[in-house]
Amino acid sequence: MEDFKNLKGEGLRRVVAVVSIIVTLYYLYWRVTETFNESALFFSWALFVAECFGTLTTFLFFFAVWRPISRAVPESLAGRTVDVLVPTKNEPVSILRKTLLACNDLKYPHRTLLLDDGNRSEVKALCEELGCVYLARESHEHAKAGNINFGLRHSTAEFIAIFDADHAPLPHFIDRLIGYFKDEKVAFAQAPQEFYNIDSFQHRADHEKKYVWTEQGLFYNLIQPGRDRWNAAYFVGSCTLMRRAALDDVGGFATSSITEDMLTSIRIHQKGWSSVYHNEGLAYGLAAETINPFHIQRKRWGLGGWQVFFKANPLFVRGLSFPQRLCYLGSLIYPIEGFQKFVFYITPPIVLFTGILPMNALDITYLLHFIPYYALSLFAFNEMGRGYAGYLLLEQFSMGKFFTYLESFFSLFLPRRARQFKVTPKGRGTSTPYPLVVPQALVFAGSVVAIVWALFQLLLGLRGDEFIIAVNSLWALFNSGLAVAIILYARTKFYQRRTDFRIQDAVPVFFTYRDGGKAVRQLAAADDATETGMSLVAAGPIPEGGDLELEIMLPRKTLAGTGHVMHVKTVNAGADVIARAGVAVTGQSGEVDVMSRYLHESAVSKFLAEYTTRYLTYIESRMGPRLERKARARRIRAYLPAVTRGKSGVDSYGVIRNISQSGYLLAARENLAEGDRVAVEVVVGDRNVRLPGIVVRVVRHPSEDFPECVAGVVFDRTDVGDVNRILAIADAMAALW
Amino acid sequence: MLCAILLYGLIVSLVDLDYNSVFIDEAFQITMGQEIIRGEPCLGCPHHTGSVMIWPVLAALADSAGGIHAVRILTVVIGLALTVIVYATAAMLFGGNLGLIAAALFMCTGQTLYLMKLGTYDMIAAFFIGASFFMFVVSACVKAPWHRNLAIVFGAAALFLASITKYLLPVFVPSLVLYVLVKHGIKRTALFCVLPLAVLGALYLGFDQYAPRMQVLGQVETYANIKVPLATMFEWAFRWIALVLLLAVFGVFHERHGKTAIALIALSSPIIILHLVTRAEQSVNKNMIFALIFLVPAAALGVEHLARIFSSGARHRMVRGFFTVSILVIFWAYGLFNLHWLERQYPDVTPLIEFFETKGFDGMTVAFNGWDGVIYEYVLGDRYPHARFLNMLEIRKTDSPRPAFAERVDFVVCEDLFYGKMSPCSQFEPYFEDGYVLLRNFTIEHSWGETDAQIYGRR
Repeated sequence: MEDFKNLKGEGLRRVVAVVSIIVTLYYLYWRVTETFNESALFFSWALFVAECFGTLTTFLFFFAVWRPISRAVPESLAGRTVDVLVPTKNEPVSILRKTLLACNDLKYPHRTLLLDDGNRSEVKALCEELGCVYLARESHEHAKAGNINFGLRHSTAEFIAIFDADHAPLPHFIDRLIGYFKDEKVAFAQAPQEFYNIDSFQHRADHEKKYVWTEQGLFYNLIQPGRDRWNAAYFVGSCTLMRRAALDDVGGFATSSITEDMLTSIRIHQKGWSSVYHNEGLAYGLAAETINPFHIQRKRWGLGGWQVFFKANPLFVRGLSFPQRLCYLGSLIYPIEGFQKFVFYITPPIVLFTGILPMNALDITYLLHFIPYYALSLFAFNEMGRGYAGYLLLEQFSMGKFFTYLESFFSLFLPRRARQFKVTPKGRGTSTPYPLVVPQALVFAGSVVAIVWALFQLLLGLRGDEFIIAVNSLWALFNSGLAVAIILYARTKFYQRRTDFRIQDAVPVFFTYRDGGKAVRQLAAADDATETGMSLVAAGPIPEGGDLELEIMLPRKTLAGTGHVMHVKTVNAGADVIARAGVAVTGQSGEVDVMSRYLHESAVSKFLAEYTTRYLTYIESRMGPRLERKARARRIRAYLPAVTRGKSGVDSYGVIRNISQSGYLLAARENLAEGDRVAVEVVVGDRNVRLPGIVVRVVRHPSEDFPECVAGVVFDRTDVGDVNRILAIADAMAALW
Repeated sequence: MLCAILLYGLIVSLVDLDYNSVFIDEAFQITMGQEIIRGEPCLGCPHHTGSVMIWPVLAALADSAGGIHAVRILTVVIGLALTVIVYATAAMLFGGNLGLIAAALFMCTGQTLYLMKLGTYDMIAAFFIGASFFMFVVSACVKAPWHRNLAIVFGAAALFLASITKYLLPVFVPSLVLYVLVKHGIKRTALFCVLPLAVLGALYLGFDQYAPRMQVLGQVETYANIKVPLATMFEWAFRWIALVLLLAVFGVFHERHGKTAIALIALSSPIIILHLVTRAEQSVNKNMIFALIFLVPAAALGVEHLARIFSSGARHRMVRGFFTVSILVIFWAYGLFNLHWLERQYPDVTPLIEFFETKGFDGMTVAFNGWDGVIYEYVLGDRYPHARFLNMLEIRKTDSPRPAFAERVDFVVCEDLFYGKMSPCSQFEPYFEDGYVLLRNFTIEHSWGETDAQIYGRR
């Protein structure tokens, strides 16, 4: 949760934003009064309007995020009634199971109601097994909104929590949010939608720097807190706690748009209710895995945006405050971006092919106006984005979405049946049709061909507008770069070997296999895991194609299961053999559920906590304290299964996650404290190698059911054990990833 | 890769060394050098805007070995050496890859390629400026104090040579001295940079026969009179550096070396500012090469930064390579276009020369309204050793009541090619309208339009 109050340079970045607005207005005035090409007026106007749209969205963005707020967690309200609604239509049972297990684990007293618009018997059986209420409609009018309204008719609770079928809440979800409802005016408290599959189409992760950018990060981390200041945070359809009375006041969920969430929010705000945005990850879900679900989702949002724009335009409806109108306007006009970007993408090819300019001259005078305006706009946008903006990545996604938004606009004119609510496909195995990247491929091909054409004309002396050609070629290259990035990223997502996103973790696992007639039992480390598979790393052999008996040592629980080794990769470190194996795991239903809960409640949080989602802006980096980096020994990533000889004399198991000449990082089950001496032994084959040390830093993961601590350990200089051997093994391990 | 870049420059330069007839400055400087070598009185030397002992002598020596082709090949070699210096400077500042990009940009620039095949003092002056900056960069990179001092002294010497090779270039002295000052502090700068510059400058001014004096100042005065509007000057100055400057501006946003890009842009600015302030358009196209020496390394940063932007998110290394090459290709085509434009900027007077080759005779006197007689003197000197090619102002009768030439003039050339615009033929018409008849009218095409020339002969 970002504390916006303590951000450096807030005043300065607002000054930059104001200066940027002034410069932009001057630039647009100059454009309209002095630069139009009289012989290509349509072209001139098209580009100018596209620029104006960009200015409008930027201004609305600045307004929305002018002073974002961070809320402190309020004290929980006891004794209220809560129903948890999970609408579903065609999501796989495996995904629903995870969500329902998480809902059942919510600490606050509640009922869980599954609203199945697919009328599936296996879902009904799942609800019966897990003790949830199963509800299904006879008819399925008004899609998700109609389904939730149907659920409301079967609920008498004061508060309604809503989760998408793929969004599993953390146990304290309701406790964290319900305190806001002490204020009787609060209609809903919205938490961000967090996604843990950071290899999805809409994520860009840098695993070296432990930085992850997500396309919706700007919205959830900044725009919503910014809108919250104006009492304009809106309901996003999931991860929300709502007051039933407010819903009844607006007649339930709005059904006249396929983006029922925004329309419902507008109606709630119209009635004078207030909203709360609680910027803390309280539920984890799956982001659109590939470009296909991404396209479906954005097309739906685009169409919904248009519907709301025409049916309940926030500029004209009654009851909203002026800031609320501006905030909603900012959220509604984004599908127009499709037209804007289309103009930007076709302008350079037109100029390169025809020599016709959308302004009367592209010379140094033009650049002297354009460059300061553009550079300042980018700078201001980056600063006001508070480290969540990522302009280039946003441009990439604009390239990925422009045709989707154009489609969404033209689908307004299709018959009602053709523009019904389409569920975003979730989970792996969703195929990606190549035609989805055809618009981007056309932008790329058109840009490149135009450049080649113009350069040939220039070299043959058929044209003399060399500077115009050069500048437009660079612009076309920029566009083609965006297109290539989207195509290549979409292409990498065409092929998915795994059926689920594997969450990086460090879990000690005993595996037993038969070597001849003899059972061999060895300790390994699982470096990633799902309910159905894991990667095992062991300083010893793992039999390829063999069957294993597994003892997965989760904090406080050990799960039994069987595994089948799908593939093995080995490296040698001196005389030691290091193996990493992909293992398909099968376990009893109860065991799988525990694993599922562990992954959701503990592993995901730990995993995401390792990544930062924000970068320092220029002003912050200049104004913040200079960090004096301490010289650290090179750390080698490793997954070394280890035994810790505890103070009590009882052994516990852990995993060494990285190691250097000076110490290592130990994921331990034992409750360690700073200053403790630990007797750690790394399991190498059938022998243990001693690595005693002293704990200097401890980070605890305070999960109630799965407590764990990660300890920084420095070697005990009086007894360093066989460090060099372990370092050699860790070095060799690098080849396994 | 550097060899390939140099080979490209060599081929493009040598493929068409006869792109144009001899340029007036080429003929002027070679002729001066020949006079100095022969020990003859050099009438043009006091007017030369650079030391006559450096380029004119070198050019005359090359000319004696192989005529105008040898002179132009000499500038090609100097241009290649300057490209190596640009590479070394950028490589030292930013690493080898960016050095190669800088070399490629420099070698693909129209001005570089053009000045490489133009036998004037511009390229060697640029070489000295480039060498000076390179030595100053070296001085900031080496660790031993002795090496630093030596590099600064060499840099100062090169800066002095640049300054006397072309008297315009002292404009770079303050900025480069400031660079040394920032890198080394006041004491070292004063001792090893300012002092050598002052000593060498004083010696040159005190002892050189043709050091800048009243005649050169007179030239400056003439330049000052030929002012163009600021907007036009702006356009002309930036036309030759616009794309490089644009790339250099992107270089400012380079993650690691953005500040150096700002410094390089600042170092390039004196010559641009000079032209903008004086609004003197003379040689603005050629003079921009001095800015390019500093801008090109910054532009290399821009290329890398743009390639990173264009390929953002793409994990394939080939993608970034594709965009780097694409930017360079755009730059290459732009440079080649400019080269062809520059090659045809000055008039090709070959038809006039051919006229005199067939219709002229030894001992003839040809009067011009411009000052390009030196071209004909240089080209036709061997064929007609006693022919004279003079400006009409030099041979008009000043004591006669009616306009008349002071001596017999066989041909009159009226043109608006070289300085002819300043003294149009119309003002001389009374001198030759009666006794002369139009022999041939020439239309000469340039990259910017057409000009006319007429040759009149005695009736």
